[in-house]
Amino acid sequence: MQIESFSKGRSPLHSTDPRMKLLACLPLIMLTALSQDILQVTASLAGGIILAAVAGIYSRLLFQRLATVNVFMIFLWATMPFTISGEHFWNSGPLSISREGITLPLLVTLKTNAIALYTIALPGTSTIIALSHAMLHLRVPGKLVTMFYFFYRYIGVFADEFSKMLRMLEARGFRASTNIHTIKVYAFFTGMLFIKSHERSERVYNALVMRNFRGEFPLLTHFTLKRRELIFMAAMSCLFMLIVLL
Amino acid sequence: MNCITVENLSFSYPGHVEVFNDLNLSIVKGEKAGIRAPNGSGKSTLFLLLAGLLKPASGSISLWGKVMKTPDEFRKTRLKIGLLFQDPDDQLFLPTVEEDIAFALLNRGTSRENARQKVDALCDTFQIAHLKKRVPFHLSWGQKRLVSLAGTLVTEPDLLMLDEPTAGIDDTVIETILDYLDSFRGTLLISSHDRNILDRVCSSQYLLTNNQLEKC
Repeated sequence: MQIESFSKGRSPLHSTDPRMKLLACLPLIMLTALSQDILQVTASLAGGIILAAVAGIYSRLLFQRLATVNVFMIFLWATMPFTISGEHFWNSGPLSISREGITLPLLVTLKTNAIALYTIALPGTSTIIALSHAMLHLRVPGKLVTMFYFFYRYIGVFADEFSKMLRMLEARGFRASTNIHTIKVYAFFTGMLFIKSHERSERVYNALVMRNFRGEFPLLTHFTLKRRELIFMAAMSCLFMLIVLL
Repeated sequence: MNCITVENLSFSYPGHVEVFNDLNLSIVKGEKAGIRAPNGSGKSTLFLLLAGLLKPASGSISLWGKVMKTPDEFRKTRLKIGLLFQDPDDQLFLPTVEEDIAFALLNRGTSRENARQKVDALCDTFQIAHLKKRVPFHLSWGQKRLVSLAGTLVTEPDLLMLDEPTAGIDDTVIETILDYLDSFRGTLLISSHDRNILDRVCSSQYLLTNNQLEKC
């Protein structure tokens, strides 16, 4: 599934206990998000780049993901330099750019990319079920974890149902155009999608009840803390402290 | 001793026509009973009612001689029941085949070592050992069916209810399932459109029609 695109691999990060990856990831993300210092945020981005290299996930897909995130940055760069007042940096005719107008979008861009890289390189290198299991070990509320896992599991089913219904419409000669008929068809289509999803959710719930589901995710393959995890946590702590001290 | 006793059971879905009206059924312990019925006549609904997943409008359901009155009684009794759903996609949700098969066992507190042994044994029985590390929802329909059946059987239920277990699968997979059912020692309730399959596996057959079950 596309959500787990980076979860398969043989890097040290792929085989690290997901609990440790979550524990390492959250403080780094918080620190990056709250920092107002360009140097700190740049160091954080460098940390993210190094982690992605260790995870061995440099690929076209990674850059596609980063590009998607950076699309939103274009809007910031298109407006903020011209709208934030401050120390004069550059002007041409009626256009004037302040120093703060440059540093603020730069800060947001660096933060965004650093956080995206941390997320992909750390929790992103584990499967969703392993993360769900790890979250339960870290005392994240069971209902939240269940919702998180079921979202992942059934988003694909929902998408399949959508494609199937769309193909069915096309097979029966439906062509979308700007008229009342198209609007009505789309309204029925949306309604049916919700009804089918609701019915499936009931069947899935019944199947879970029959298998004694109690809101937990017991696993056959368990993860255990090894020396590697301790080294990983020590390295992550060093990275954290380095960014703090800059 | 009866494994299942259903007396004067009535059930309707909200806003729908009634599914059952004064339905009666007795299945003896160890009986292998087949249910034939036209589409939409309520086979799946009957299984859900027997498992306590739906509440009847009136009438009573007794399992192993005990009248089931509260959801808690059904919850405890469900530990002895295995229900195979018609659509395996409703049942399979864990990331690997072996995890999915072991799910019910681990929910009951079975140790991972024991669970793994039982999963391995069932995978060998159903010849799906090569699929153990695969993602269940990427398998073929027949493979999904075998995995969901293994996930149902792993708890060694005393009462096994199979909803259309052979629908949409090829002869090889059907033969694997039937071979297992031939050797199954508990009480079996199986719904199918295929009379040949019911003739081979079942010691008794019922026809569900006009909201009633008739022995045939």
